[in-house]
Amino acid sequence: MPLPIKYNLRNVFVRWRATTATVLCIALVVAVYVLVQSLAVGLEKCSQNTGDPRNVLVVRKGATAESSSQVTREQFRALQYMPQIARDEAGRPLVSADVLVMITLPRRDGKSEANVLVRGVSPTGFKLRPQVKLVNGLDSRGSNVVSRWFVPGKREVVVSRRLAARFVNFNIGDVFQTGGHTLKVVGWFDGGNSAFDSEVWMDTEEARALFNRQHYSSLLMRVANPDAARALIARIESDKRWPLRAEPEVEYYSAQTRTALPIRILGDFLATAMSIGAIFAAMNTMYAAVGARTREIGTLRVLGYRRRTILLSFIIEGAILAVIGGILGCLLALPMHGYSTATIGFETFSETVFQFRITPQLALEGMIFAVLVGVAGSFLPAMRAARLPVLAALRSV
Amino acid sequence: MTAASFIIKNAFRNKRRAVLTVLGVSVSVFLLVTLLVALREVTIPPEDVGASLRVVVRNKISLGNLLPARQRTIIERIPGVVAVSPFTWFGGKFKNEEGMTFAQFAVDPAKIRVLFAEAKMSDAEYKAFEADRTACIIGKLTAEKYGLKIGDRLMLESTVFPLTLEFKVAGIYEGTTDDRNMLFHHQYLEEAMGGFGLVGMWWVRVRLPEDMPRVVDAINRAFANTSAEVRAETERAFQLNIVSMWANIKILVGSICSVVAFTLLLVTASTMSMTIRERFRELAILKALGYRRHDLFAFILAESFGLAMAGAALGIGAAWVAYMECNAMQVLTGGVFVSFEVTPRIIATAASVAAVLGIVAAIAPGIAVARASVAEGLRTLD
Amino acid sequence: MDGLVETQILAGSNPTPDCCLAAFAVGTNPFCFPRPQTRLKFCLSKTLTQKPVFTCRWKLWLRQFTPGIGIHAASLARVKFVEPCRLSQCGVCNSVSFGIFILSAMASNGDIVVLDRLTKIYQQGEISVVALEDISLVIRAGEFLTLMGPSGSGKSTLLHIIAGIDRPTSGRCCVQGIDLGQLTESELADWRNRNVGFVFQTFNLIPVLTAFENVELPLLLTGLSRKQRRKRVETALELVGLADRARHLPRQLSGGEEQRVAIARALVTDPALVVADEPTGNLDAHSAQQVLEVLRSLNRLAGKTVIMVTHDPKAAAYGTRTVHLEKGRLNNGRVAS
Repeated sequence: MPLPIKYNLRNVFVRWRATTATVLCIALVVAVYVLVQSLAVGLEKCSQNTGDPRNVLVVRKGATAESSSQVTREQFRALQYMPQIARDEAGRPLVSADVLVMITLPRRDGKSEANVLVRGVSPTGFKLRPQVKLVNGLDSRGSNVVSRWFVPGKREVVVSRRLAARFVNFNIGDVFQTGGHTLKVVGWFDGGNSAFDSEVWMDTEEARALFNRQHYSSLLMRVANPDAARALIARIESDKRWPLRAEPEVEYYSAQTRTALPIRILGDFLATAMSIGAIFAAMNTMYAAVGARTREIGTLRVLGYRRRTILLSFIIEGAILAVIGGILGCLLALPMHGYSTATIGFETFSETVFQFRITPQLALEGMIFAVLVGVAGSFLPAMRAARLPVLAALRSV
Repeated sequence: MTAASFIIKNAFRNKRRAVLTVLGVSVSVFLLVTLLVALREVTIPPEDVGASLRVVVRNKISLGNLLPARQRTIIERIPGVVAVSPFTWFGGKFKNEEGMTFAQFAVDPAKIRVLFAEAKMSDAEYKAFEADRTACIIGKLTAEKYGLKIGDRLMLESTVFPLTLEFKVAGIYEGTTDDRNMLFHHQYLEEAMGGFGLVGMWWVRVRLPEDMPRVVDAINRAFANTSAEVRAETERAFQLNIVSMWANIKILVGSICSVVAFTLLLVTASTMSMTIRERFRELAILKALGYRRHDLFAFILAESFGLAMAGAALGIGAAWVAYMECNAMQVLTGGVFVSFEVTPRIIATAASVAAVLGIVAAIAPGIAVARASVAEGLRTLD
Repeated sequence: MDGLVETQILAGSNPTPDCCLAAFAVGTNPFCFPRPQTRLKFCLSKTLTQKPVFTCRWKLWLRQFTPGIGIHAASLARVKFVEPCRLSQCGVCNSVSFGIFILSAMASNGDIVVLDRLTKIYQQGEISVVALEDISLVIRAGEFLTLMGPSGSGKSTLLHIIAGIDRPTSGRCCVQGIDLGQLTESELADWRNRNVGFVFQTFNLIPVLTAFENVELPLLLTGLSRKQRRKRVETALELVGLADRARHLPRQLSGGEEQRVAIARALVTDPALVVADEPTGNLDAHSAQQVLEVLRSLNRLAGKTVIMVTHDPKAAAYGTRTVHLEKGRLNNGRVAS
């Protein structure tokens, strides 16, 4: 490219008043795209991050979510002594029989309610999920309190730290009502940015009694190695007596990205629609640039510069505009990275907590969008510049 | 030549720029209207004629918990109650689709006609539905989507019950706010589950609107302190509660709307500035000829406003045609939105946003022109 | 083309320190692209006329895109040496590069532009405008030709055709033996880059580039290295006396300075032709005079062929020959020889 890039760069900055609006337009398109997609990425990462690779989850065949699954007590009794299941030091099988119940609680903003997922876990449940850790929490007066695990039978629960921020009566020491019973919060836990961050945990047998559940919802089992996992899964699924489905825990959660999909679609739609407006703005700017530099273009042609050089030069100028806009857009979106929020998840129909996650890949996608807009917007004006007849261009004012 | 024709001639002097501006504005307005309608659809469920006479009763713990069937007789005895039907969510997957695209409920067929008096279906279809235990009725939208006709059989695999059931289409209804649902016999479900004696919700029809508060209260009190406490509320309140769970979505869509509006401003403002800068010389000449500052400002304002409103008209018009005439949104999202109505209020909002932006966009260039002296303007050779 | 060139510089009566300087300048003249291994051999010998002669040998590496230089291997030429004292009187050219001087003299003598029955007709809707009618003209190398005529006489059109910016409707325009009508659009662009330096009435400098960068523009289309380009640009700017303004933008220069930068730009590829369209039209009297002086010294000292369009008789006086155009025809049907 004989024409140096500095020519384009300087022109962009010299005409900053005209170009600012277009740069901002592109920046906004990129920012909106990155933000909406980072919602989806946050949701996906949250579910991908859930589970221990050594665990196998058992649910009823045909159930799309743990909460709508049932595993009977007989099935539990039969399965928990399978040889592939690992055992703890005392020789007990590392199995947790979970009960999942959805309850409706008022949000902290006082204006709305939301569904919250309560998981009743067996005493081994904590060991099976090492990513869940107790953390210090706040009581209703705002002072720091040490968390402790719930004691079965005492109507005690532990809640996710992130959920505590969103719901009334989730401070340590608070009580809340559900199903005609009063439950007390004795600790906060951190789920390590996984699906467990959206849950309330209590003892499984207590949950069954409280919510009148005859059966469990799912079983979580620890296996010794991947071969044992495969054998266990095959054994469970091949047995005709049990309408059960087994898979590695991580796989189960990875597949739960249905909530993210409509958000991704929304992000693509918005970005595309806004891009069209931005393309028009870019076209306007570049046409004005070409119009103002007609004599310059004629001079360059006289000096021997070819048409395609001029075409390329203006497209590059449009791309430069777009790149500046893209970088600005990413910077605009960046502060939201890590911001915690929640929405109703489509799998569990309960409040799912997650964070905006802006990944380098997203930023790159945003930049590509921007460059496409810049190139698309400057293509026609660049063609016009290239096609200007030399003499007429020289004569223009 | 009048002032108006002068302005119009000026606006279209650079045809390409004017067209691009109008198009840019119209795309943004179209998007704005789409977002506003979507927001409205999601936050305010459609008002139903019969809704004012229906009460929804659910387990107090949450919607996901079931209620004992014996509660029915107690509710029926409350004065003011005309009909009670169970409403149990089946959550069935149709064919091999990943998710559920239409809701299925197990109900009492005899009571449905009373409960949803506004639904339109022939007598024969009602009778056929009641007669056959495996029969079901389907809303018109779903029937059209899958090409189902009376007499067709369909298999549904439930995700909440360990069942796969086969149904026979006995009728197709329309006229309700949600013509997508499939209703079948609760008895059929009961038998398949081996008599489990549970229901998902109770839907109750009240005789008169005045009876509503009293009935709601009575139902709530009837089951207080039992093992299955309930929450009864009007159908409208129920729908609004569901929608309030989407709280953050409202904020998200709201902020996107503002961003889009701001982008609109940028597009219009930048074009006006470009135009004015090009015309500095002429405007200076007009000044020299005796036109006063506010005349010039009026010219600029009129042009900016005109372009903005032209774009708004185009954008709103396109949205109207797409959503009201062609039902674009319903088709594109496969029925996620039952209705996608462009209300007069939304049209007015979008139009006023564009108008304000057209005015605001003219301010900066207008001030610049007003301030520049004639000599400066004539010297300009941008 | 590689070649061994011997040049003889006839010194004045006694070789003075300036002569040595001049010889040195020749050896390192950027227009010749001497290779780093250039060795200069100075030998003082006496000629028949008993005048000392400097003989410099250097290897020239010529690139294909500078055919205008036209140096052939082993060509020898005698060159008249201009005495230093006279040189110093020319305020603009006080750092003349003797290289140009020598090379231009070695350029092919003879006709540089041959116009044969040139006609140009413009179509404006249904109306045909005859801009040039049946022009036949020969311009010799080393001339400073002025084209004069009232407005609308077609002189600019003629200039444009010679410079390869416009094409004739009929007739031929041959520059240095090449029929411009036979060249394609891109070939014409390349040809212009190498062989024509255009000076516009409105200067036409790129506003966002410095004087240096503006002058460098035509060189970016050649294959020269950065260092070589820089050398050439500096030389060209020196030639027009604006070496110290290299980093300034056009808006920081006066009209006259801008035009001189434009002339430097026109020179930098060492074209055979320098073409100027009303170069003093936008200048005040003093700047106009400076610019015309530069053009004249280019013509006289560097041997460049200059074709200038003007309507100012005072400007025309700087030229060696004047041709008048009226209504698209050469006045009195004169065919200059």
